[in-house]
Amino acid sequence: MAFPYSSGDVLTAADLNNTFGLVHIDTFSGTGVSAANFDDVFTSDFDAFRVVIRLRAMPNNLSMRLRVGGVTSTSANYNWVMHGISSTGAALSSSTSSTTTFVIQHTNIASTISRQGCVFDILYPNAADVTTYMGNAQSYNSGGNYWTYNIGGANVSASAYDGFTIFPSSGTINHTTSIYGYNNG
Amino acid sequence: MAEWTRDELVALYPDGTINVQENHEVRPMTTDEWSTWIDQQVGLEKPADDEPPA
Repeated sequence: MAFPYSSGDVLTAADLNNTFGLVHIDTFSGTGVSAANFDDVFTSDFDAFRVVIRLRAMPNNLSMRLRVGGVTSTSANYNWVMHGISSTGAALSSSTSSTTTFVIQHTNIASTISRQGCVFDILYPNAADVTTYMGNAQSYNSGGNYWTYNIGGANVSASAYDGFTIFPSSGTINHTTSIYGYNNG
Repeated sequence: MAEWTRDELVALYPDGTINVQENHEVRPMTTDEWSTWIDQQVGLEKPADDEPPA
């Protein structure tokens, strides 16, 4: 049945499966965690995934690594870029090649009330090929600077992954992380 | 920026206060995990302690 539907239409499963653009996979929350592992979230039902992370009490940069079968990949296959500007006009430009983690948030403040977050897409993590991500982040740094920046990168391993982990480079985080799949129809 | 010492970390994060998360399960680190984690934090840069606007 063609979208948009009309009053009186009787929808089938096929209609519904073709309707939704983003499908909620799971939402996780943790307080005072040094690392949060999310497994079996990159299901074969989807090729691309949206990740939304809301953060409190993040004292330092937030990193991400890919996982498969409950094991975190720590090989030096991660390449990442972060580029943006602060509310006081300072430039943020940071990147690293062939390293052991993605960096997805930039901060340096211990405050438990700091409000930070990021939204990004991960493409084809469950394919035996390069896994890429790209999105945006916002964080608060010492000295009154609100930062907004693009984030992105690639894991160049020809491995398939079913999950990921997030962790601050020091200390612990309070987070809520939601994962969605892009419906292929 | 200052760096963390072990004494400062132990005072800030006593045994039993650091959690690890496996999907929906959040549990405190064991004492061995906590001790290893504390050792890994020693020498890392301390975050700033100013507050953003409420």
